[in-house]
Amino acid sequence: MSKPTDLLQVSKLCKEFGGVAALHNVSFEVMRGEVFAIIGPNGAGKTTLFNLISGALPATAGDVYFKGRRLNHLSPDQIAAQGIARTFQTVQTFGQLTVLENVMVGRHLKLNYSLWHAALRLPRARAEEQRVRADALAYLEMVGLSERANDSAAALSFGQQRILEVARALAVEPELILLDEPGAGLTRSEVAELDRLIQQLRERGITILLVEHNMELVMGIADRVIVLDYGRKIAEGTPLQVQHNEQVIAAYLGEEKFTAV
Amino acid sequence: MKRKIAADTQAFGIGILLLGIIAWLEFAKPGGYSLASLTGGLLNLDMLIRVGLFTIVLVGLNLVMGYAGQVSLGQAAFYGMGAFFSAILTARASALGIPPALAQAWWWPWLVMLAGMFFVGGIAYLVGLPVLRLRGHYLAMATLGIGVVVYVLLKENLGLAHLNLTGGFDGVAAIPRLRLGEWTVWPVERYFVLVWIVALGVIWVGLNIVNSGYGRSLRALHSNQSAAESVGVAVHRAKAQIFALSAAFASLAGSLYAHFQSAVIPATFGFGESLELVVMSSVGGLASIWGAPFGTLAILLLREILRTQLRVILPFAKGEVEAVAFGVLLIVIMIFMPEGLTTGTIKRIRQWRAQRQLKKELSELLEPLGVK
Repeated sequence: MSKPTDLLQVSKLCKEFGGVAALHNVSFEVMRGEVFAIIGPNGAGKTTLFNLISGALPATAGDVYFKGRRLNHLSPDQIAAQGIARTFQTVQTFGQLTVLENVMVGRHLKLNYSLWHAALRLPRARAEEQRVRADALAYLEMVGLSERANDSAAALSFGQQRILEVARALAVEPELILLDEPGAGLTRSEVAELDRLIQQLRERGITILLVEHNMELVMGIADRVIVLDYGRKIAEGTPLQVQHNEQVIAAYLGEEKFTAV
Repeated sequence: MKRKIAADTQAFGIGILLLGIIAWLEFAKPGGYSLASLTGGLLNLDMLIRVGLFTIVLVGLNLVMGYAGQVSLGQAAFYGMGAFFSAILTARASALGIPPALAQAWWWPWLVMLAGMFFVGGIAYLVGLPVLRLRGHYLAMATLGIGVVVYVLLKENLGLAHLNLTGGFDGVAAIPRLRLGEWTVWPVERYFVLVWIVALGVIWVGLNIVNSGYGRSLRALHSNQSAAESVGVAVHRAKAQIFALSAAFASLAGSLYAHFQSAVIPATFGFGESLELVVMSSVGGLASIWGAPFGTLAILLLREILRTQLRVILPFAKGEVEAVAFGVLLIVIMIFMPEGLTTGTIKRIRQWRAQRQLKKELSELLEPLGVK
């Protein structure tokens, strides 16, 4: 069973898509407060793993425990309510909403009024709205997007939309945040910014599960790393240990990114 | 957001002023003028009451379709359920064994109306939970199904032929007028005021929801359902809730319709009516609460003008030509204003203002340089 320091425990998790195993018997534990990275070649099952943890997809077999509680069969919104927030590999902002509203939606679980309060515009609803707006602005301030608060989210650059997704996930006040390739498609300066942001999250005590292709970023901030290949875990350890693992080198053979580090 | 709320307040002011003028015109008949005589018979209270009733339905439908992004092709079913709920529990109270002392009380129809909203809303919630998991065409088909089921139930006496509650094809007649104590909400000008007080109230509620966290989550799940779920929006429940609210509004309008017509038949609430509601909603502007009254007014006016004027222009024209002309005009509106009349007009005005501002700034910049 899970140890007191374990925040997340993934146990023999399997996922099949029409008989093809996207994920096979993957187990690992994430400790509270660490930055835990998942790497592996394209199609290794990293995003599938995220979708299973966040409830976007049901697992074929195996279990996920969060703070000792089994998450299987919970819907994504219930898992968010447990304290797990995520970002997406392909940018998934609310394009028609403003930047500020995107983050305000992230405060949804903190809204403490009913549809009746909203329908009749009772003082409670108005007060809550003001509070949520202030909270959301603070998160935008933190990630450096407050100047764009009233722009439509679709008007942001690709990199800014990724950052906006992080802000929206932060607004959930998660204990665990899943970042799915946050660095993909970002410019060098944006990656540096992201690096700084992740450090900031860590200082706030948020546990981070990170899928990332940018090895420089991963090796710089991760406490521990697991490597997936064809849906199986082939290595686990500190960045340094993983880098020198022969199986990992074989899996990445020919991929310049990795050998260059 | 603050600016938007201020604009809404202005719109309310204009709306109340307009309705006040119409009510004064109809109650006082100054100089023998009335709304009908001033508009050449185009506008009359009967029509404006219908606009009010459809506005109540459309505010709900717009929340479901325009904001939450869910198709409903069965909204007339809830409208009909409300109408028959009121009709049966007032005009057929004795058949149900409701003591006359209760059924004759002035507040009884009002209580029935309120109960109808909860009843119809509750059913919509239970139906909505599974059905609104469907998307796109499948959802359209399922809501179409809801409409058909309700229509058949009304037509077939709810399967309880011996009670003859809905009256089958013939429907229910002799529905009593509404009263407030001893004061009857009739003749028609009094009913006009009642319907529009309710309609403005419903618009107010609709705007409140749009401007609240609920409205925001609805727009968010419309924009991206999986992202909305990932931050804790219980999307299926949220969709069912707004569907239930829209059904409750439709039921309210149905009850008011029943007491207005004093007779209801199932044929009024078939698929054609559901489609008409969607058309009104799209023409007014789906993602716009204020689109509700304008969409309805535009469609009812268009129909009226075609009905009375087409024969003047084309003496040989029959009903088919009217339908074709109506269809062509709808297509034209949708081509030139795909967001609907209200949203489309607001957008045009904004563009025009922005252009004018730009031109002004440009000329101020260029003038000292002697450039024209």
